[in-house]
Amino acid sequence: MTNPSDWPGAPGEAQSDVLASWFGDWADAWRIREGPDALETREFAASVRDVVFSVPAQASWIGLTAWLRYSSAVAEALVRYEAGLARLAPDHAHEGLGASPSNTRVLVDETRTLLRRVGDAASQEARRAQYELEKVGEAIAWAAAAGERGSFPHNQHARRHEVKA
Amino acid sequence: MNEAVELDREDDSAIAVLGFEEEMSAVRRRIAAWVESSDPEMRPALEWQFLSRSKYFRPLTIFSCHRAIDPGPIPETILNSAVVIEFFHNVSLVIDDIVDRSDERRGRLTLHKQFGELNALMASGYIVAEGYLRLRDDVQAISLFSELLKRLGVAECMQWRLRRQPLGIEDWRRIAGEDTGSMFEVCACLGDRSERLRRFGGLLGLLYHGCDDVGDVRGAAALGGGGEEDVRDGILTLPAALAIRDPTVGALFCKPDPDPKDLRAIASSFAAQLPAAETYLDEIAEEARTEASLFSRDPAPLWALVEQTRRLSRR
Repeated sequence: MTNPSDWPGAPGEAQSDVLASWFGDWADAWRIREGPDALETREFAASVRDVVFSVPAQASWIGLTAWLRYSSAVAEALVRYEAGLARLAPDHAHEGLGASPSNTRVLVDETRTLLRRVGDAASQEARRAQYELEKVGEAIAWAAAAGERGSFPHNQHARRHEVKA
Repeated sequence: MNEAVELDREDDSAIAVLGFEEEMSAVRRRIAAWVESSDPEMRPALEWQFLSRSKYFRPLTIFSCHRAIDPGPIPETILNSAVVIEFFHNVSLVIDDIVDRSDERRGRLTLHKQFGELNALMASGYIVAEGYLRLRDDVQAISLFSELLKRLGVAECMQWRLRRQPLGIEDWRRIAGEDTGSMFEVCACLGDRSERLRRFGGLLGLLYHGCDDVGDVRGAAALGGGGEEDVRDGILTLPAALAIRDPTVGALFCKPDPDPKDLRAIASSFAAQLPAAETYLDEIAEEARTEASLFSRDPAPLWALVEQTRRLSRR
């Protein structure tokens, strides 16, 4: 679900301009520094840019689906609550439940169950959204790291400072 | 078949199903080595407490939660946490047995019955001190174990304060969640080290507590009773929370000094709630499986753990 390749492309134009300009500068700086590898770095910058451009859409989608699932869970909890009350007092589903102390206790217990379910659903969807957003963030970090490994292969890595004997 | 042998086989099969025989052998060896090296004054009590049968369900939970997040081998810090959770679990058993005035646990005398209350209490302190000593390089674990001890203390006081009261299922969830729930929450956090499986651990603990409640009623009902100690003390178990919705049973449950006839009637009404309690436990198990699916990289070990726990009510 959070695989960046599965997500829609660039969202807002204004934001695209800012990011395009920023990535353009980054790519230029890289090209000057790297010289012969310019094409490779341009491709890398473009691929990272694609991933980053899709982030607002992904975040919005994650938020929207979390909200939809939460709404559905609340609706389900309400249906179960109504069914529970009807089962407890078939002839007084909506009135008369507080007629005796034991009925009141049951009503209170069922209502607490409803509130817990609604709270649990909110907490679960919030944690789920957070987890999915973390995975998107990790995907960006991996994409960037993969590009850097391509530009700086391990066998070309050299220490740039002198080590004291 | 001898009941003890059957239980041993069930425990070993749970470890085998989850594939942690090697790690569990390491936990057993470390505990045995520590008992062997302990002060001669304390050693007989520690041997009595530790070298008897144990389900090792809490170390198993730590290993499973770790495996659900990280497929690699179990690292030293996690293994050490598993040893210490077994220490702390045993401390909670010793204290519970004293408080509940229990004479036997798993077919043999409890520690305080065998060695006296003073020795049992001192052994508890000795075990806790060793636990913290072993955690000296693991600050995160120290914090989690401190949370556990505090929550267990609060839960025990709360459970005693709320006995013989006309409460409901939500109150049972709160008590069980702080009692066994806190133990398994901490196990999950010790295993995954990211808090991602904390809620799963809490649900697993709730499930364990509920299955234990139901298993007690089922086992005692087969012998003509219904979880005698809990009934006697007016403890809010899951079958009790369901049964006392009936005002007649609720009135009996709240009586300060129920006579034997009252206790039999209460036990019988608890037994009548077993199907409803099993349905409720199935719901908790489903919640736990959903948590595992949503928040782990590989939910299979956690699903197996839920399955093993769920079986406890049918023992």
